[in-house]
Amino acid sequence: MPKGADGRRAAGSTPLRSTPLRSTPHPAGAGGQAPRRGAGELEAEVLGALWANGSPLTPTRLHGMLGGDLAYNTVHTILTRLRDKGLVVRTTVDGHPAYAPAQGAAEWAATQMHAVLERGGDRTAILHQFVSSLSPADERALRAALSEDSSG
Amino acid sequence: MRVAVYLPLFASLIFTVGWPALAARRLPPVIGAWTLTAGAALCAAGTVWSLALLSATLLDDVLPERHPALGVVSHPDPVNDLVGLVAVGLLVVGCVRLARELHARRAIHRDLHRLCARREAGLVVLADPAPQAFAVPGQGGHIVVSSGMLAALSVSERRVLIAHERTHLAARHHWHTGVVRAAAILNPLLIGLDATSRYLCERWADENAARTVGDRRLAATSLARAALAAADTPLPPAALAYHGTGIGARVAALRAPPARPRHAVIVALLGLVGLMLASDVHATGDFLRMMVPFLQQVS
Repeated sequence: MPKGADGRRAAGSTPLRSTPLRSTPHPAGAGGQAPRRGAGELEAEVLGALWANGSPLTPTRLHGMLGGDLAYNTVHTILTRLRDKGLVVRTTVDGHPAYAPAQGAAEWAATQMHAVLERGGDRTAILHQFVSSLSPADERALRAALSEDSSG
Repeated sequence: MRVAVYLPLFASLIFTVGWPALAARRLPPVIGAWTLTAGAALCAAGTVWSLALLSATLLDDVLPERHPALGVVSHPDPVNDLVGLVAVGLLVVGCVRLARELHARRAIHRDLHRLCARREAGLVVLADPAPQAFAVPGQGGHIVVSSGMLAALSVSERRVLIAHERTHLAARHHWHTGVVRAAAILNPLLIGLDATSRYLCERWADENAARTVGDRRLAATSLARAALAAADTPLPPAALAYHGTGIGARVAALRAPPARPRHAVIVALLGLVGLMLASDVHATGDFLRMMVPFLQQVS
């Protein structure tokens, strides 16, 4: 494991904290614009979309996927920043520049994370996980709720 | 002293049994989590103080009935010595377990930091088809998401996920769950509050995420889809099979109208905590009345 980078403080973590969480009060169901998002949030969104897509995306397509409230230039800036951090790589699709997530970094992170979480008995218990195990009754209720939403 | 010193134990029991039932589902999660954290901390402090008082009653047994220099020593002996010994035992076990827990926590946070600090973005992606996501607190914090989780959600659902995890970091939920965990270690009567605290922090993050995206229905859908995606994938290694509470309840709560603060519930809770503190003050007074003459006689 390369040692030099360990002590380096994550530059990206600063905007994450400074971004106000309850950004803009938003009238529920008004169907207006989504509230403004901070730099950390935007990076997460762009990175998330690239990972979810599976194949490289041109900035134009990515911009289309993320919805209309983001300026094209913003998407481009974020892509450049993520590339500088080594989190996305640039390739080409039909001769146009396109971006894909950096696989190596994420594979390394996955291996390390498994190692960290497997070291102790109940290490995940202290983490705040988005979802945890489901009971069969919960699972049925969730499936019903999702199908109701998609039909409604 | 005979009764008052045990009241904090009794109050802890009422708090553990009554509080989640009374308040957890009827208050906005922010208020629920804060009152739970504060209540658990006070319950633990009250109980530890009670145990310390009971332990201190053993002091008078240090001296024999007849002391060569002091003559006949009057022994107040406010409680049975066996009770005092049990109190000492509970205190020692509690402190040892707390120290071990803190050590374990520091170790995992150090490991996770070493991993996350190399990522110069708030989001750390794991190349892993098993959907999972969690927040790693400290130094601004990081959100760890597997590629499987990102692929399972739509653009707007991912926005909910990110907002949820950011709430954990910004509101420092690890302190809430950590304090309640520590309280439960010092006072095993509170053990049931551990899961309640985790549940309330999740609800808090759910509600905040719903407010951030401006759509409770979307937040519910995102949570449901993430949970089902995780259920559809074969279980990750045993370490990740984490028995959390109530995805179903969280989704249902997001689909229902938001809870409103109920002053009666909060007042009842404050009354309980007040009773406990008063009983500790009372027991301390009794203790001093009985033991101070003894200590003066000895010194």
